[in-house]
Amino acid sequence: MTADNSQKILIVPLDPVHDVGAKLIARTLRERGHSVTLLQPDLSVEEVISRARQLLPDFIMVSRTISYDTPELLAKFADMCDAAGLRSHAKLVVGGMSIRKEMAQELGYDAGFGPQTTLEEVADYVDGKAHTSHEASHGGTKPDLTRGYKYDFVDAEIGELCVGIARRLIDWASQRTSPGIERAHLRMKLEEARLSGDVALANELRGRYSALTGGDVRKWYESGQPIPHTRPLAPYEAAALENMDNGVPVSLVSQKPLEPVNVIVQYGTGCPVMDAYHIRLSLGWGAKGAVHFDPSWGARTEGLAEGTLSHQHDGTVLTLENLRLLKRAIHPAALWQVRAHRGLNTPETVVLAHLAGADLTKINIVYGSLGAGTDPARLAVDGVECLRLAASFGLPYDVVTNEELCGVPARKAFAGMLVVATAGVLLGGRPILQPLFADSPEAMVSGFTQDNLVDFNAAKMIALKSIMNAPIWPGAPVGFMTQTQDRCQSSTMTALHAALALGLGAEAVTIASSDEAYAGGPISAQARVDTLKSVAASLKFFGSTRIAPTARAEKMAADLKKGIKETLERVYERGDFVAALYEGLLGDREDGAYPGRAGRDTVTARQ
Amino acid sequence: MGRTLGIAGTAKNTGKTTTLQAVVRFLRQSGTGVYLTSIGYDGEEVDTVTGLPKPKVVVEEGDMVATALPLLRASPARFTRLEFTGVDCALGPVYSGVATGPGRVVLAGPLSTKDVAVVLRGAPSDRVVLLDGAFSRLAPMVLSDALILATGASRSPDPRRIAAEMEALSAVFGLPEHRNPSGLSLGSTGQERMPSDSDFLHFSEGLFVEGQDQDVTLRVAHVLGLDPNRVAPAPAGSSDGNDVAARPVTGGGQCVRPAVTVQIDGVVNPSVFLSMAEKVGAVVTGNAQDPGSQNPGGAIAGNQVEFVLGHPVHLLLSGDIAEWVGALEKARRRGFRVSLKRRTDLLGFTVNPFRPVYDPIRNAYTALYVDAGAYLQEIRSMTRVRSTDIVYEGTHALESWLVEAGIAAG
Repeated sequence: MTADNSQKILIVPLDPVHDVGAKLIARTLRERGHSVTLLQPDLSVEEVISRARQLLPDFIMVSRTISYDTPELLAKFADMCDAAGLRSHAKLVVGGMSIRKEMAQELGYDAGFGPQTTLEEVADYVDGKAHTSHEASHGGTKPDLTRGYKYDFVDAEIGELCVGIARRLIDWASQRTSPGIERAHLRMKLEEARLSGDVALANELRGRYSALTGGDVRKWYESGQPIPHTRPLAPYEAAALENMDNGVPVSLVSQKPLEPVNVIVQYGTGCPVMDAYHIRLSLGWGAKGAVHFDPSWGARTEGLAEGTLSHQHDGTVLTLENLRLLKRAIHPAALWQVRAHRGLNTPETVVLAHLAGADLTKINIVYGSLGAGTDPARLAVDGVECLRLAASFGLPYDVVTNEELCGVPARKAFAGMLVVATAGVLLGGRPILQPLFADSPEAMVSGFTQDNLVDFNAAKMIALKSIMNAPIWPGAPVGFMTQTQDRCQSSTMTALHAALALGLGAEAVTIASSDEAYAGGPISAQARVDTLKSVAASLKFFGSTRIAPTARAEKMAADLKKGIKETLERVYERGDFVAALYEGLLGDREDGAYPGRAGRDTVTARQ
Repeated sequence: MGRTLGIAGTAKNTGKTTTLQAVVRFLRQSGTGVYLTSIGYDGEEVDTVTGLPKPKVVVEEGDMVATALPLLRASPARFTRLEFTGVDCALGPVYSGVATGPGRVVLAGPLSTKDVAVVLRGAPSDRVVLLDGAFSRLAPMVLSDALILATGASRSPDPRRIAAEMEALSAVFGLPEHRNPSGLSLGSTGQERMPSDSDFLHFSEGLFVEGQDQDVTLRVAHVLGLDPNRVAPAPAGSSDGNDVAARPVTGGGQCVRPAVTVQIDGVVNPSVFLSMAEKVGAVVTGNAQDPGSQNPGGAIAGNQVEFVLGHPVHLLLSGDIAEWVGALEKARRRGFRVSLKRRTDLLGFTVNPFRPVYDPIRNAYTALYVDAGAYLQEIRSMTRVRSTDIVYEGTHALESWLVEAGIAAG
């Protein structure tokens, strides 16, 4: 700060007693080299104006705690500053617990700073810096969760097993195809034809595509029959999204603790317009990205529809048009994930993710096969194609272990995750490991979480880091099975799990809203803000301290790693990854895993 | 520049937006283009303080608006010809635009007199600028050619208080514009010195804190050659006109130009003004009555002192508005002249029976109403100042004010 930039500032605690905030700001501004006059509290407006006329400051900064008649007093002060000629050269600023920028505008102040404003934000404003701190998190570069990771194996033995299994899987899949793979390639060509304006080719490709669809989606292509529980968006709804400004959304209060970390939310109300508002709201409250949730029926139907469709129930229909509309709600510096980890349309979903401009996808073979109803062979061949496509598009993806929620023990789920991740690396991709931070059935039955919810989750991170040099992104979301219908309890659990994950070095963490744990209907905007605020508060609380697991965590990690290795050995010995899935080596009926049936017998030899 | 009509309120929730919408509708019907802006934040869904629903600001195709750019973009009215006005507000840069269709818009425009002046300079001269007020803020309204004040139960459910305030406001806005002996207004001549046979004092600091009244008194005494220590005792009760200072000085039937013109810019508090007027009066009278005075016999009379105040708005920002009636009356009885450097026509008052009441148990505001007809009638029984309730009795009266003022075509 040079003398030339030094501002003359008058700070006025326009309050009978409280001036702590004013003193803190005065100190901060003096440290920045400004000349600050701090008045005592309990002065009348007239006395303050009189002093200001003598000083002729560049900034008049008023602080006021919430109380009766606050707005009237502040409005009067602004008026008198104006009438006294002070506003000719001074900016008028107000700060306090009841202040919002809309209120500042109404009361006549050039800027207003409310609760949780940081001293730095105020000082930056005086210094004329272009943005406030809670915009900074979105004003920079989009996070790259995979940057710096080499994907080499720290544990050579496990690595050798993973590579061996993965190679066989890739070989097996490369000889096979499925309707899902063919539709994915048709979709790419179809969109190219549309872009080039070749209507005849586009129609021909569309016809071939529709011949590969099934169920309600086929009826839609053939006769236009609406897919149940969906309707096209009305023109005004689509217009609302098209006209949406995807500039930096500005939250009402600073969420500074979220700035250096990557907290991701999930959306999927069924209505793209509502989704867009939820996304914007979440990004405005410090989330760094959002994950698209599609309806579960879509996973069991061959083919994806087209157009902008609203869905009556949870999950927003996967169409390219819906995704392109939703892209409008995603700020350029925010991450957007479109998931392709289960069902009969996974390769096409990766294509759509790429075409719509998503930043990430989600790919797995094990969870979708054993916990989401898709036939293992089908999902394996489609999954490998997903890995190829993602690599060709430069799309990173996470590999999730949701089968833990079915009861599959972590050692088996992690074995499957590592195999898929390794296959992805071999195909040139950038996978992200996504363990669950949950009170899973295994954890409950084994007593791992009886004493605390820290050790077992920490053990997962420790184990994975000791196996592979890969990014880790706990999800999805964290805190599964630990939340109740109580919003405070739910938010607290989410916040603590997120703080734990980030403290243990996770690249990102996915959180739910406070009502996702129990909501039987739409997720509310307030519930989204609940958990974002709670996570910010927990990160503020912990700062650079860390949650320390007990010595049990290391023992759990060691046992987990041993179990992973044993599972991989069995799978390797079996020699056939898909067979291993059917036979329960990566999760059996006793664990709660059941090989899916959707898409059974649809895998054919590749021509 | 075209004409500017200000719509301000004596308090929050007095019906400014409803009045604004009525004025806009009438101007449109009469074929007058409008340019809307606000010195605050208007047209939002819910009140920022009470949380109660607010009336909307709705524009039609062709209306022009100056508001924060994010609000222009968010409006379904789809504005075109966007131009930066040159000022910022708390919600971002203020842009003007022309509506291409009907739709709601939230107004958040220039905040200060300086910034309003910039925006007004850029407004098309063939449009009437409607300067929407905010809360009870008034300062930028000095730039209005005409003003409508919204008042009502939100200010006070007691019609007597409202009537008293209306009287006071009317008295303040009704003060004459200062003219020098050549017939020029001080506003047109700026701060030039008056002709040499009268003195001119300028106080730019305002008159609103204790001590300033004494400063003015001493300087007036000095200019008039009076001994400031020769003061007459305060008259018992109200002045009965026997004060020497109150006796008019005539010369062949013509008014004598003031011996001193005291221009006071900035905020003027009625109590401090009255104190100053009484002190000056006491010095003038004391010197006139004292045989040892250099000016015996009342050669200097009260009405040879003229106080020129800046703008009526600046008289309303400090102290109790209602005190002005008494203060101006007492100044007149002392024989002083009080005039204004600049004026704004106060067209009248709109009266709103709405009052939000805070319920501490629910920690929320509730919308209540006084009896609209009784309230208005009661007010009208106590003052002849123009008033109307545009919801209760329609917009005819309001429209007639606009036509009379030349804001709208008849």
